[in-house]
Amino acid sequence: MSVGGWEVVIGLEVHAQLATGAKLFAPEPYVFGAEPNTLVSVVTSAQPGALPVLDRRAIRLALRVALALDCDVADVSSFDRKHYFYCDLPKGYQITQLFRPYCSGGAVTLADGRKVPLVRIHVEEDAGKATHDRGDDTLVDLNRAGVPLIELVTEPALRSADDAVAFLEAYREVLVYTGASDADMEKGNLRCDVNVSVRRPGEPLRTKVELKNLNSLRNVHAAILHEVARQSSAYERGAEHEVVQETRLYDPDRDETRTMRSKEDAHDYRYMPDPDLPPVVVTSEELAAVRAAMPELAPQRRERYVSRLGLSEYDAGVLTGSRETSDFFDEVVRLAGDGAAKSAANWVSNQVLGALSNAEITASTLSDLPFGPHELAELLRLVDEGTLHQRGARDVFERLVREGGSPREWVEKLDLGAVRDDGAIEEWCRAAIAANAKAADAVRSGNEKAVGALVGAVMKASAGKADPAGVREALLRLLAES
Amino acid sequence: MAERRPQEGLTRDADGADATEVGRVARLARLAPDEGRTARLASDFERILSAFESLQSIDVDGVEPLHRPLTGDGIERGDVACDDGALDRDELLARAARTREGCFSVPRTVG
Amino acid sequence: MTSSDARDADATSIAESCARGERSVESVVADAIARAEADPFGAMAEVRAELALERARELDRRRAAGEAPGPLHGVPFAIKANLCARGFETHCGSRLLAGWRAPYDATSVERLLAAGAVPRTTHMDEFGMGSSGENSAYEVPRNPRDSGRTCGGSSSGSASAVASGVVPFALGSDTGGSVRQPAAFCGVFGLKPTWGRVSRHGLVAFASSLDTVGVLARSARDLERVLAAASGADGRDATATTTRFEPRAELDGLDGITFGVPTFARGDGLRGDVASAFDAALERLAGLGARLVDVEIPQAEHAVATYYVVATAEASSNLARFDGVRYGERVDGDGTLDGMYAATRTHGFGDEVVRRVLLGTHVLSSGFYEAWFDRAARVRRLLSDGFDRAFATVDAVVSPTAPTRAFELGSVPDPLELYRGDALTIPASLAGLPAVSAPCDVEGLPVGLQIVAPRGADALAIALARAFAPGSVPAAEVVR
Repeated sequence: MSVGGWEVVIGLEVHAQLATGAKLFAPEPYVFGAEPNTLVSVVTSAQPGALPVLDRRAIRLALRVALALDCDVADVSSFDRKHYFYCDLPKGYQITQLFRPYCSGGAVTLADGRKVPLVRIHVEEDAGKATHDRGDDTLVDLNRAGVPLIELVTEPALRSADDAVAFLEAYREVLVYTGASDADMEKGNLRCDVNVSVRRPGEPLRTKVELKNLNSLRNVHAAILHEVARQSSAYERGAEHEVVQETRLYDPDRDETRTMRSKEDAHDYRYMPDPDLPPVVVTSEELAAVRAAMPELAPQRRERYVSRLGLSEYDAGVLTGSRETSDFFDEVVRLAGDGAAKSAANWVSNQVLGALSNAEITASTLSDLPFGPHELAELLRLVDEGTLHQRGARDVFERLVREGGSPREWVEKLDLGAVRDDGAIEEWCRAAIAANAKAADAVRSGNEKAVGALVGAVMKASAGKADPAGVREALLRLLAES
Repeated sequence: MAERRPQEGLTRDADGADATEVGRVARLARLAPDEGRTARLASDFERILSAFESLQSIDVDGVEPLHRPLTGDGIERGDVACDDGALDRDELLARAARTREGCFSVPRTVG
Repeated sequence: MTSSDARDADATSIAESCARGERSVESVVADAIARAEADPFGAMAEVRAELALERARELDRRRAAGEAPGPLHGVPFAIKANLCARGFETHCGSRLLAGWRAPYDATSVERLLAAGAVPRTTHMDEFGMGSSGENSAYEVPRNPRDSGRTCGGSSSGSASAVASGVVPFALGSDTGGSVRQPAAFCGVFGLKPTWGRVSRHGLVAFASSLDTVGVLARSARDLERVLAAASGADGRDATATTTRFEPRAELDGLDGITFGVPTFARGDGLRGDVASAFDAALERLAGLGARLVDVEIPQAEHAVATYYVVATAEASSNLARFDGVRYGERVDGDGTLDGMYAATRTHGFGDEVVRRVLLGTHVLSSGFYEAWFDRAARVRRLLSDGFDRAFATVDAVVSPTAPTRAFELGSVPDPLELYRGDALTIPASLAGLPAVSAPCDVEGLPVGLQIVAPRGADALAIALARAFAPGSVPAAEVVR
């Protein structure tokens, strides 16, 4: 992005919550939205004498991300204490990795194929939550304290607000597909700080400003645009003193950033190695095991959908838009066979996803639906074996979406099974020809398209249970005979 | 981090209110000793650090720091949530000076 | 057994006579309560007589019902007030934690309770920072061998209670000598195990990489019995060793044992009376068949500086949690959060704690880290490696435990001088090695002999101490 001749330089620091069952150094689980202070052990509340013990799964999840991003994994990493006083930080320090992070280097690949180089990723614990809007005091909830995070730091290699958003989308996909994180910005388990500066092309870097409080992609985008405008305008007015190294908070309501703290009162974090925690050793065997257990990532899935299942790039993109959708689709294909892949893709990307955005349907995620891949696969089989025609299949699907149940039972209950009795079909056809003399004549005189009206009449008579292609064939044969 | 000589800065003029290193670290450590106590502590502080100055003469190039004299590899947990060390909320909050609405209450920090 | 025998009896003999049914736990505990309540030396923090008697009766019932008695069945013991014990005030000698009752048991405490022991608590230097028991917001325990003198510190109350016969053994904590030095001053045995031998879960941290849970007792065999019960892997302390503690057979003399006598054992500041007691102790070791050789532990002369940089840094970090938010007495100050923190901590911490937190903050702060903390951690490595090299040629390293005998209360107001008094115990702490202080056979005030063994060889250190000082030392005469 070049704004009035200014080149934009952006680096990101992204925190993602790891999807472990327990906290990083304490044995209790974390549940988003739980009653305050109900998930707080002696370790998390920093009771005197309580000690941290590492949850190894956090390291394994973090390693998946490192492998997916082609980072250099350290044989030995270790935890350090970062000291500052705040009411949401029970120990007076955060356990993080400064001196020896578990991995460094690597890159995130954007959707358009560009690679954004990384400085490092490290494991650390989250803080609790302070609330300031419920009275004259500040209220502290420690449920979130101690939840495992990975913090990714990019090189200052991004050049626009669009790039920053594209980066977050690509990284989010990696987090979700590796199973390392739910990466849901709304729930705060993916959080982003942005370092922004501007310069004339070819210049060395100028003063950077850190933006915080960016809890959606839209805010990230808007905050960067705003900050770029603020900095470039300051430089153009000769007001360089307005751009200082500081942390600014983005206020989405006013679309502006304001100073949170400047460098002068920056913290002195007094980092030191944490004596309570032994170094983390990752052997080549463990790394190989993590690699072997790595779920298939989105790019590999898209590749497989196109080359093995014969889907279009577009469909492959829609289906891998979320891991949940892709998993759903894969399961349908597993049950119904590769041959059903194309129709499965149609059903999933049109009907199933469509149902989720249908205001009448309460389900907002696939797992909320009253049916699963198994039922959809059965529906596809019923169509494939000729038991059900498309129209009947849509009727059954409507029932599945609203009530669940077995497709085969719905077919019986609603009497939707296809009529395959040639005698009955011929009778309906003769009746239709008799009742629609005009259309029949038109067909006889060479206008084959006119047969549509006759097919419609037969389908109506059969209550949709006849096979329209068979009906058309029968009509044409009868008309040719008479 | 900018390297500073160990003794440098002990009595430097800081940017803030306290002109001494003792004042600076007291602010960092959230301690506010009164004047008499500060003066006493500051003199101990300088005396103790000068007595330890001999550390600066030891050749430690290439020596790996020892941060924990471990005997084995140490212990880690599997990813099994459990109630070891669990506190129910009443027990957790019972020891706090001030609580409200199931939370710890502290002086308002913004706005 | 009469009451006065019980005062002198060690834990092993009490456990055995209770297990055999020769005495009821209730009567043992009732006696111990009477002694604790009469304690003229100010060692005891909380006795909780009702709780103890209830527990004693429960132990008697369980034995009567045929349950196998534990290795410390019925033995009264004392817990330093920085080890969490449910139902007791774990005040750590600090005003800030007045009234704080731990919501959980320290692993070491939990294990001793499971072994059948019956608890109460003792006073100490605030957060383990002191060598005289005087840095405390509570009572200052006095030395039962001479009540005008300090019992040392920081496990001052535990040492006093064991020496006066209030309890046969006590748990203490030893970061730079806080079990060994008071043991030496009070004429009892003191064990600082290998770092990680006993879980630190529930030990309120002073300097994590140096802190150990130690034992004070009147016989060496008790050290072993208690360590066997308290040690072992613990899923709540990542640094607790998974290697089991194996007690050793009692040694028959010291033939084949080589002791190294390091240069620091005769360093500056060693008083003449201590030096001659040490010489006599060496003679005794030689008389038992041991070989004595001089060893050099490089950097030992820098141990005090190294230790105080590392320990104060870790202390400044560990004590950051005392902020008045979740527990502890809060002082509002100017009404801001930072003002509340500063007022709470300044009011809650005593001078020595403030001094160390300031020093520790300084050595970790930006621009000073490399010159102080990082450098000290490297010197620590040199010292630890030096011990390892020495142990290639000697079985153990011996020295006096402290350079002086117990000094008069109030006579050493200078912190630096007190720090230098730790010069003999600190080297083993920095290297994480096991060490025992055993009482020397001297006239007048006690002197301790310190035996330092290789990492993990706690049983050897105890066995050597037992060979040097077999049997049990009597409790001090109580003069009222």
